[in-house]
Amino acid sequence: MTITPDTLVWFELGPLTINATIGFTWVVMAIMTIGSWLVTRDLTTSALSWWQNLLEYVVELIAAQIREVSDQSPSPFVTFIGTLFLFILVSTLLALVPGFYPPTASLSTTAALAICVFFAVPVFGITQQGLRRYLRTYIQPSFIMLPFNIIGEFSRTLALAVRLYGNVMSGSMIVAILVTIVPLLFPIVMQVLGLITGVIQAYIFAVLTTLFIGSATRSRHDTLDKQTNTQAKEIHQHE
Amino acid sequence: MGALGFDLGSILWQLVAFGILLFVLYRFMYRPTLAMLDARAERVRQGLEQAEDARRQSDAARLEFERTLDEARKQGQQVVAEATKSAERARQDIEAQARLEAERVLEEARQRIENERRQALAAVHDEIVDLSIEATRRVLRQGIDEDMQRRLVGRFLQEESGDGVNAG
Repeated sequence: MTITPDTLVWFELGPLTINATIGFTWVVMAIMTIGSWLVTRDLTTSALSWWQNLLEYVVELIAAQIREVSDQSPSPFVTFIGTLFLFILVSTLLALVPGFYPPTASLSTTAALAICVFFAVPVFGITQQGLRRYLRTYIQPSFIMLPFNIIGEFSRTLALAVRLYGNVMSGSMIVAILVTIVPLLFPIVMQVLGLITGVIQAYIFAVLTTLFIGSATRSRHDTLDKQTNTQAKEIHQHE
Repeated sequence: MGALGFDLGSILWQLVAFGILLFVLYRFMYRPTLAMLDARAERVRQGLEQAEDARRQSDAARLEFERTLDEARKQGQQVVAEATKSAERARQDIEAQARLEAERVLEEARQRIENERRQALAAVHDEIVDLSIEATRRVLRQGIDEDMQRRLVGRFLQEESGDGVNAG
């Protein structure tokens, strides 16, 4: 039994090793690339096709979620967060195909995704706020918080990677074990459950990324201003 | 960690792969879709603006139409009133002219009758004179000369005329 698709090596050429994780990642990428190209090659503003409707729905759903979670305009983040979400989602959905191992069942993939988030957060933060204001967020509310904030950056990246990996891998393992013990029916139910878990994990990963980016791009002053305004409104209502 | 799939080479591969996917999806999916959504939002916004403009124009046209209608109604009423007055004036003029014409015709008729009566009277008078002269000549053919005859006839006629006037 394979815990991770990394152990399934497709071919080796010196130091270059192509395993199932990398291979299936490219499969997922190819499917997403071809799919998006097919749908967007004849986009129209009227007489929408079924696929264009679906694409617009997905993109608008992602944008709406980003807006809701980060309370900011989703335009700068929608590509990054949307790609993360769709990659994890498609990887998980393809797990239904016999013989397909979701790349997200490998710690390499989830770690790579978490590293992307790790670097994307300061990039977005600096882009939106400027270097000085972004760095200032590490010493807020006081200078003592600096080490904790830095540890927090690493720990949340680790948590992102391990959470996704653990959930997808455990789902795949449970199905694999059940297939050997009870070959009929029960694995199907578990597969469906694994699918739901995978979708939820894709959502959680995207939402957490949005939260991290949102907190990095929104200055503390904005937050404080917003809180003050909310409190002022409440006081006004009470009066 | 290796058993869990944590391998630095694989992580680098996945980072590259995700970077490529990010670029490709941005190029083929997000950019055209977001551009199209923006274009549609812009079109909807323009449509709403146009609808608002059309509504404003429609309101203005309606007000203008109502104003024009009101003016036309007033003008119509004015025209009708003027026409009524004019017709009344024309009726009065025609009536006055007709009355004058009738009086003129009547007067002319009276004068013509009077003239004809006078002419008839003169003709009758001459005829009577001639007849009397003739009659008298026949009766008194030899005793009275013509002067005498004329005087007698003239006196006769005067008497006749006075009788005729008294009788008329």
